Amino acid sequence: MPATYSLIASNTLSSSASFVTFSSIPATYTDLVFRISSRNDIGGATYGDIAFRFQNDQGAFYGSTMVRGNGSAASSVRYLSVDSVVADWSQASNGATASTFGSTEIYIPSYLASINKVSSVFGVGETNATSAGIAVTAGLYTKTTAITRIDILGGGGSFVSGSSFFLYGIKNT
Amino acid sequence: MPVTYEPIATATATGSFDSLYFYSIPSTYTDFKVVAVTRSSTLSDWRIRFNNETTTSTSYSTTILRADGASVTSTRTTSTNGITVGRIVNVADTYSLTIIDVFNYAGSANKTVLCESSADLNGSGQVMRTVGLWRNTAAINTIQLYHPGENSFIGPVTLYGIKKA
Repeated sequence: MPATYSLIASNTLSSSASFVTFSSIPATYTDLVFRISSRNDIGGATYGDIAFRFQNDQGAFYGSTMVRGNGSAASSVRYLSVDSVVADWSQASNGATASTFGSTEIYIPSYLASINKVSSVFGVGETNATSAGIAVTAGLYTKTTAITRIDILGGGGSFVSGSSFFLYGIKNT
Repeated sequence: MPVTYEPIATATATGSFDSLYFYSIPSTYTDFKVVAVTRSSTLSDWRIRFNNETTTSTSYSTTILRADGASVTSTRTTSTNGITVGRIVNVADTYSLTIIDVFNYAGSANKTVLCESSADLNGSGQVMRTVGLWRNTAAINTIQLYHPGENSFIGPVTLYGIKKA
C-alpha cells in the first residue's frame, strides 16, 4: 500500500515575511493539508488572522464563514467577495507570550476537480493571558481552476521568523 | 516508517443518492476518517448511522455548534436514529466539505463521532462542528451516510483507516 499522506513541501522562516508561497503543487494527490505554526507581528494583540489565496488570484472571488471565540465571547462573522479566504483569530500575534506560536490546519479537498474550491480551517492562538483566539472557518474560492499555487498570508502583518508551514498531499487511491 | 493512513474505499458516483454505504469495514485499523465532498438539491443537514441500525433505532445523539456569519447557536438532539454530521449545499459547482472522525471504532465502548462541516457560499452558508454518540459497544463494520429525502451528489467520499502502528 503506498503512502497516502505525504509531505509535499515545507518552509520555516528565517526572517519575517508577509506571505509564504507554495507553487508547482503536483497534480498527484486528492486533497491538500497545511499544518502551520505561526505568529504575526501586528501591534499588541495576542491573536491574529490568517488568510490564503489560490493561483495568486487577487480578485474578489473568495468567501468565508466562521465561528470564533476569545475566552469571553463567541461570535460568527462572514466575508464575501474578498481577495482571499480570511480566517479570523487563527494564529498568535505580537502581544502573545514570548516564544508562543499559534497552530492552524487548513484542509482543501479535491483541489484538482473542476468545482469551486471549499476549504476548512481550524486555528488557535493560545497564550495563557486574559484573551486568546480560537476559530473554525469554512472557506470558498469561486473558481473551478485546478490549484497549483497557494499563498499563505500574514493577516495584515508579517509572519515572524520561526513560523513554519508544512504542506501535505493526501491520496485516496 | 509504516504506513498508518490508508484509503479503505472511495465513492465517486456522479449520480444522485440519499444514502451511501461503506460495507465490510475491516477491524485492522485504530481509527477511521471520512472525507466527503458533496452537493444536494436542497440546503440541509445530513447524517451518519452504523451497522444498519436504521429508522427504528434511537441510540444516537448529537450536540451541534453552528455559525452562519451572524449568530452562533448550539443545539442537541437525543435518542434519534442518526448523528448529524454537517450541512450539504445546493449551488452549482459548489460542494460542501464534511470530515468525520471515529476513534477506536473496533473497540468495545460506545462510539464517539467528531465532525467538521464547511459550507460557505460566498454570502451565505454555515460552518459547523458536531459531536455524536452511538450508544452501542459493537465494532463498526458498516457506515451509512444519508440525506433524508434528498438527492445528493458525490464528489468524492473517501473512507480512510488510521493505524496506531
